[in-house]
Amino acid sequence: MNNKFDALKDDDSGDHDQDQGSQKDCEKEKTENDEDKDQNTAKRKIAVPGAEEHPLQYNYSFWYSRRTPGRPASTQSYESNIKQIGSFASVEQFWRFYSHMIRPGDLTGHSDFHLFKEGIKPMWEDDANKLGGKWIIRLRKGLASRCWENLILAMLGEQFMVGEEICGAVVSVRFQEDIISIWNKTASDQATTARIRDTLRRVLNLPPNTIMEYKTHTDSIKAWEDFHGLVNPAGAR
Amino acid sequence: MEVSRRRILHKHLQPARPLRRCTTATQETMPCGEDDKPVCNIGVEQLFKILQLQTHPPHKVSTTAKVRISYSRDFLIELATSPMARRKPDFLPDHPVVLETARDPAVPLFETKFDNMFA
Repeated sequence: MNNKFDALKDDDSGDHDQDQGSQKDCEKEKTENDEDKDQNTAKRKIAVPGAEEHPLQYNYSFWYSRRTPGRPASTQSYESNIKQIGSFASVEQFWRFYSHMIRPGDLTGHSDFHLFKEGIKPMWEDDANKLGGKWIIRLRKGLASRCWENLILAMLGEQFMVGEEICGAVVSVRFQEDIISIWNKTASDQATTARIRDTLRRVLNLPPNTIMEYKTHTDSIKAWEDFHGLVNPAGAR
Repeated sequence: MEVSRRRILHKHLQPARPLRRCTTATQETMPCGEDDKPVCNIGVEQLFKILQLQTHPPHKVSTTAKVRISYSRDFLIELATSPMARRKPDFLPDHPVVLETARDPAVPLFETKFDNMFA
């Protein structure tokens, strides 16, 4: 009775012990194609921390996306281009995924890694994101792997201290530069966005002249619609 | 004998008192009830606070009123080398970004150099 958190923890790990298969299930990746075939997607088990593992404040999912040249750009095609790699609930489970994925600095082409709280899609249109925005930091080539690692470790370790505000993080590999960004729920909450900026400065160990830009998702959507509506209907976002 | 009988009589007479007690008792319950109320109100919130204060799981740091599970970068990196953290997840898509064996958790040397530059 003196510790309700222990009680919850025991319950979770007990569930895990009862069903050794649960860990496998929870790590099962879900692709868009599988989703169509698999009627049980809705029953997919939620990732739980293992008995000896260090639980995280939230569960997260890794996603990967890559621009396919020549495909029409639309919200739908963006969604089908983005692939969920797996979900995790503990520090150890995070490292298992992370160490089996190539570093963002080794990615080629126009591609992105996304790490989002489980249940939030890395899309502007998701309910958790639609009123939100992101801090953007442009990096010269050669810095992405280390900055990405520092960014996601700060997020998983709850270093931003903005309550429920953080949605996820993205690293985008582009032709001449790489971009890292962190998304939050409420773009209009200036205290939160300022706090995120200050934490970013601290955890990324950025050079003092680094330019940081905050962009609301509604602005991103507008810019994207303007661009594709007026200039290039075949481009990708 | 007579004395003891008198005492008994005295005792038998005593039950008359409860009538008075009844009146005083009802008067007492009024302030009593008022005292109880605020105690109950604080009780719920305070109990919750007390419960949280008693929660000190290892490696968890409570930063705000709510207990959040937070970890420092160094602590997270320490855990990266544990065997549990090196095993390949059971269901990983066959994908160009997915590796067959875990890569070295250390950051490539040239990036460490960049890092030192900023330090």
